[in-house]
Amino acid sequence: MSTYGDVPQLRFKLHGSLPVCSSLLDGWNGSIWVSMEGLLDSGPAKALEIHLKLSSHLYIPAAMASSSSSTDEASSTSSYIKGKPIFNATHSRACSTAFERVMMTRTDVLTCVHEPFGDPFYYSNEERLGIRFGADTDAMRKVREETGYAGVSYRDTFDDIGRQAAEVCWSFLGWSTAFVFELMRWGGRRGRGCLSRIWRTT
Amino acid sequence: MFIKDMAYYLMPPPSHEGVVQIAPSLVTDDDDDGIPNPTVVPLSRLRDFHFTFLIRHPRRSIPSLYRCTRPPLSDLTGFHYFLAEEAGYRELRVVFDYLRATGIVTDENRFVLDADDLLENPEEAIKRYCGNVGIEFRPEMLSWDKGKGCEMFEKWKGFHEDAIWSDGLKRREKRTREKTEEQEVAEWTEKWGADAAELIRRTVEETKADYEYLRGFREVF
Repeated sequence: MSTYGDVPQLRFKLHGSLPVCSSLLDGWNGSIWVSMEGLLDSGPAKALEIHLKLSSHLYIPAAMASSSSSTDEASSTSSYIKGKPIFNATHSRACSTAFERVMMTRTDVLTCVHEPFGDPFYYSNEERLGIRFGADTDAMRKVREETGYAGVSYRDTFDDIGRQAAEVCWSFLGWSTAFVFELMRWGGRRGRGCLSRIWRTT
Repeated sequence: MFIKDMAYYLMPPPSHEGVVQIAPSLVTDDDDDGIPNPTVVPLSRLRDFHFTFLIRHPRRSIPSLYRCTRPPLSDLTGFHYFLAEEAGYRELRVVFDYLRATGIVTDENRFVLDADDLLENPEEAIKRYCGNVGIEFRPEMLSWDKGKGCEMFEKWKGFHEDAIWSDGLKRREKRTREKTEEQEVAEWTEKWGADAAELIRRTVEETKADYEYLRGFREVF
């Protein structure tokens, strides 16, 4: 097995399958530090400066995830759930913001999005459903315009969620790729050995 | 990623004229699995999420919602009158049932949390929630700095002041005895007048069945 050959495969898996992506990340989290300790002995401490920001709830829209090649792993309920963004559905005044604040403490693994669908529901010129600000009068039009959401559609809201998630995802990809290359560059033969060990644990 | 949102934003309210259909901007060709979709969001997009549910007894949520539509809070919220359809219980139930019918929510992955259970067993509730959604529980999840990171609540000003200025989730003693309906109505009358109290009472009555239905699926503590 070529160590170098595994790099594109990692990228493919990140793109192609959320469940696999998550389980890879979990495996990495533990393994990387063990491997890096090994690297310390051999010299360059620079590798230790590389910190991976891991997220187990990367959001990849269905279209991007359609190339999933790992149905076996995806069928495991826990890992399947693990890779999906969480949608905590609720009704008005259910203490949901307090609950949200709990989840907001985990910026290491979660990006929190607060009531995004209220924008098109109340204010969208084209797709609003709620009647509170919905009247076709100048006064209400002005209210909707002033929120800045009058031009927003349900698709825009999904796209915005996707964009926020993509930032996390690309940030991870960037870090992980940098890590892999740094490991190979600085670790030399031992580094590549470390990579093989990481792969085996995932 | 963690999204918190009202189920009622995903479908037309009772006051909406016209048929239920997918939002024009989201229309897709391959989205029919034979079960009528009550939302404006295609099933393929709903499948992208892992859904969990948070509920609270309407005798507590409805007066709280009413309070947001009266001064001084209404000056912040911009919601200047009470609209019963914004309670959102029926819609939450409808979404819940649809997600079950389509297999998105199953007996294995289901998680319905009652706010009373959350407040009476914060640590255990969050632990179980973390287990359900696949993140590691940490005790420090139960406390935070007042106001920190709350910029995103700005767009719904006035609705979240309590949560914004809280500093953690503290265990509340279990209620040993609920107030009677008469006591509650008397309290609401004193605060907001007889008409408002009657409106609240009626809305609680109308939403109770949907709450009880969802509660039947709750995580038991």
